[in-house]
This record gives sequence, C-alpha cells and structure tokens, in this order.
Amino acid sequence: MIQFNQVTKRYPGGLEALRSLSFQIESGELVFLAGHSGAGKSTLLKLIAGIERPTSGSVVVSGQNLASLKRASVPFVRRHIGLIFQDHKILFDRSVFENVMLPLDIVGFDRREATRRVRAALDKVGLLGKEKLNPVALSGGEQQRLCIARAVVHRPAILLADEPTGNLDRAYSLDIMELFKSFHQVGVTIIISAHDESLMADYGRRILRLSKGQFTQ
Amino acid sequence: MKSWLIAHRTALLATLKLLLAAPLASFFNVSVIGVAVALPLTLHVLVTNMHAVVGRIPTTTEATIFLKPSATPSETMRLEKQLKSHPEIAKVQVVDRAIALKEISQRSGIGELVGNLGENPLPDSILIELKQAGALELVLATIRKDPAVDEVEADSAWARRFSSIVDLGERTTRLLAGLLLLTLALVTANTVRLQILTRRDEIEVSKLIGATDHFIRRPFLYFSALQGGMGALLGWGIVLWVVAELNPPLEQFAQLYGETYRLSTPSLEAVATVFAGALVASLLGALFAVRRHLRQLDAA
Ligand SMILES: Nc1ncnc2c1ncn2[C@@H]1O[C@H](COP(=O)(O)OP(=O)(O)OP(=O)(O)O)[C@@H](O)[C@H]1O
Ligand SMILES: [Mg+2]
Repeated sequence: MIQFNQVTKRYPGGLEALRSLSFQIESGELVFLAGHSGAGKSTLLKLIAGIERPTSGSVVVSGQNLASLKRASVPFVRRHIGLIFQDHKILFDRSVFENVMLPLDIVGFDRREATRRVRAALDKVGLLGKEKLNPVALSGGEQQRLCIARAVVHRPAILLADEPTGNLDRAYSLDIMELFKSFHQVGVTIIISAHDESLMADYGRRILRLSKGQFTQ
Repeated sequence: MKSWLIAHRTALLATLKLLLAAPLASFFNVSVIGVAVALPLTLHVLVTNMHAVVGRIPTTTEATIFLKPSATPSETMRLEKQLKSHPEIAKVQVVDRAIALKEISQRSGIGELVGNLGENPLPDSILIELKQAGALELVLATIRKDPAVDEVEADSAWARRFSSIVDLGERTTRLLAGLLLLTLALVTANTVRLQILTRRDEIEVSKLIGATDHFIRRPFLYFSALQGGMGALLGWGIVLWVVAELNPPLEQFAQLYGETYRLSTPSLEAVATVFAGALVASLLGALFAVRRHLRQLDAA
C-alpha cells in the first residue's frame, strides 16, 4: 500500500529531515511512528500525502509513484487519504458540521448523502450533539475528535494521524486510540505518529522509530 | 444529481458566501463597475444620436467656384465650357462679377458704398450642381487644381466638420471603454486578492484534503462574473435614466426649431457588448488574481 525506497527529504536551507528511508506498509496495517521532536515524523506523513516531495528516492502509494506525479493529479491521490494534522487546521469561521462537510464538498457529494455521512462521522467521534457549535467552543480533546471526523468522513483507504494524542491526558488518549482501532477493524490502513511510545506498547503493533531522519531499532 | 451539477452548486453557495461576507464592499464594487460602464455607454448613446442627426442633413450637391480676381473673361468661359462637358455635373451657371456686385448692392442697401469703391472687388464665380452627392469631393478636388480657380466652397463643409466630430466622439468612446474595462479588471483583481487573503486558511485546508485548483478557483470566478454582470446591469440602468432625464429639455429645445427630437436608448447590440465586456474584464481580473495568489499560497 505504501512503499518508501531510499527516500531522502532535504528542506530548503540544507536540512535533511529524512535520510535514505526504505520501508513498506501493507494494506490494512496499523503502524505507529515514534520519534523525538524534529525526528521527521510529520515530514514522513507529508510525503505519503504528497504535501512534500522527496528530494531523492521514490514514494509509492496505492501503486502510484508520487515523485513523478503531475501537480494536477495530486488532489485525487489525497482524496484516498484521511489526514489528521498536527496543528489541527480547523476552520473557525464555520460550524463543526461545516468543518466535517468540507471533504465531501470537495469531492462533490450529493447534499443529502453528505449530510448523512457527516452525522455518522460526528456520531462516531461523539460530537453529534455539538454539530452546530463553532469549533472554538470545543475542548482540546473535542477539537481532536473533530479532526478525526473530518479525516474519515469520506471513508479513505489510508488514515494518517500526526500526533493525535499530542496534548491529551492518558485516559482521553486511550479513547482516541480505541477510535483508531475501530477504523483499523474495518480495513483502513493507519499510521499514527507520537513522540510518547508508552501508548503504542499496549497494542502490539509495528512501531517505526525515527531519530534524526533515520530508523533506529 | 450529476457530479458536475453538485460541483457548480457547491461553488454557487461559496459564491453567495463571498457576496454576503462583505455586502457593503460588494455593493460598492457593483456601483463602481456600474458607473464605469455607464460613462462610455452614455457617450456611445450621445454619439449614436449625433450620427442620426447628421444622417438627416441632406448632403448637398451644390458648390460655388470663385475665380481669381485676375482671371480674364476668356478664362471664365474656358472653365465654364470645361465644367459643362464634365460627366458628373448637371448644371453650370456663371455669375458675372458685375452682376454679382449689382445684386449685392441692391439686396443689402449698400449701393452708395459700392459706388464709392470705384473698382469691383468681386471675382467671377460659377455655381455648379452635381448629378449625385457622392462625387462632390472628387470633382471639387480637380477643379481646385485649375490655375484660374481661387476657392471652392461646398455647402456641406459644416456637415463634414460635424461628422468628423462625431467620428472623434466614437473614437473617444472606444478608448474610454477600453480604459474603463481595464479599471474594471483591476478592481475585480483587487477584490479577489482580498478575498483570497481573508480565506487563505480555508484554501490551504481545502488543498491539503484534495481540492483541485478548479474547485478553489470556481467561487471567485462566479463571484467576479456576478459582480461584473450586476455592474453592467446597473450601468445600463444609469444610462436609461440619463436618457430619460435629457429627453424633456431636448424635446423642448428641438421644438424651438420646429423639430421633434428624442434621444434613442442604447441599442441591444451596445448593451450586449457592454455585458460581454464587463464579464470578460471581470473574469480576466479574477483569473489574474487567483493565478497569482494561489501560486503564492502554494509556495508558502
Ligand atoms: N517546511 C520546512 N522547512 C524547513 N525545515 C523544515 C520544514 N518542516 C520541517 N522542517 C525540519 O525538518 C525536521 C523534521 O521536522 P518534522 O516536522 O518532520 O519533525 P517531527 O518529527 O514531526 O517533530 P515534532 O514531533 O516536533 O512534530 C525538523 O528539524 C524541522 O525543523
Ligand atoms: Mg510533527
């Protein structure tokens, strides 16, 4: 499903965020991505979503080499991916409902079907009662749930979560992990990044450990 | 629903949001465009109406040829003969300088003054009448070259002057229209630039989760087209109002000369041109802004 071959990412300014990484993630896998701050976790996830392009090497997602993809084709790759951003990227000029509606508007969903799906996604993350609120009125954990709802509402094959439990307490984090587990159970390929490994250990899944842009064991 | 229909409906909703997000600014823009459109269109209406007036003036077929004071009677006779054999000329009448002087002194009652002159200051002249008006200029041009001819006067000279003013008016209209369309494009580009800046978060997130450039661009293009169209509509309204305001005094003025005259409203063709121009200029302005600023967002 996802394959990195000798991927190096150098940001302008000469910094190498990733160095010659190679790995493979199978369809339906749930993988954790660990590493200290600045290790390159976000960069790796951005490469999968085509938000950044590798400086060298190839990134293949669902059989498509993103390195040689035309600019105009990138949006269509992203539609098969659900993204949970480290900095949330919630829009505060609209309601919770409208935030979750955005991916469906982009794809061009029939309004009635879209409404149904948004409700289902909000229900799944426990925000159905707050759909009319402005996201400002949500707690940090609820905002994280809103991000999850927006990432899964179009039922992507791949879900990339960048530190989804970043600022949450342990109990709340476990709740969120349960959510991801349920998506995993219906066959979604999931990568979850975190700098705190203690949460991952309980799940007995593969953990990719990054340090200074390289894997460590 | 078909997906393209959904896409357009989504864009239309987004457009409505753009309009309602800043209703005062939208109203202001539409007004600016309206006035910008009204100016050349008003000028066009005036010029077109002047054209109609010129059309009503019967183009003359008559001209008077004044000979040089030094011209001898034999020279006058030669020219008369020459003109009579000209295929375009229907009538030739020689006015002898002595007869002309007598006529003038009788008509104007300055006989005494004329008597005191001692010498006749008038030259011989020849009145000609052409078979058709179209050939006048050409015929007169050859007559002017004759060594015995001093001056040629056609009564249509003022009409020609008038029509060249109309011509100038038409050119001015076109120039003004071009400049104002440019203004319109710039106003639209600036509006869209501001909209993009205030919506950059939405644009950024949309792109990150799979929006195409078309999807991002569409609401801004719709918005600009709508704004341009409404501006053109307003401009048309302004011109209709101007015509309605000018007509009563014009009618009164024409009545003084025993004429009936009204300004005609802009032709359908002119209005269609204005709408097309406003739409195209708005869209070009929007496209320019969207291209430029989406690139910038890409780079950021
Ligand atoms: N757009 C960028 N331009 C330049 N350097 C960047 C850019 N993005 C990230 N970097 C650098 O690349 C390195 C890896 O960054 P990255 O965001 O991938 O780390 P991370 O593992 O996600 O860290 P964190 O846990 O703090 O989110 C860092 O040193 C960072 O400074
Ligand atoms: Mg990060």
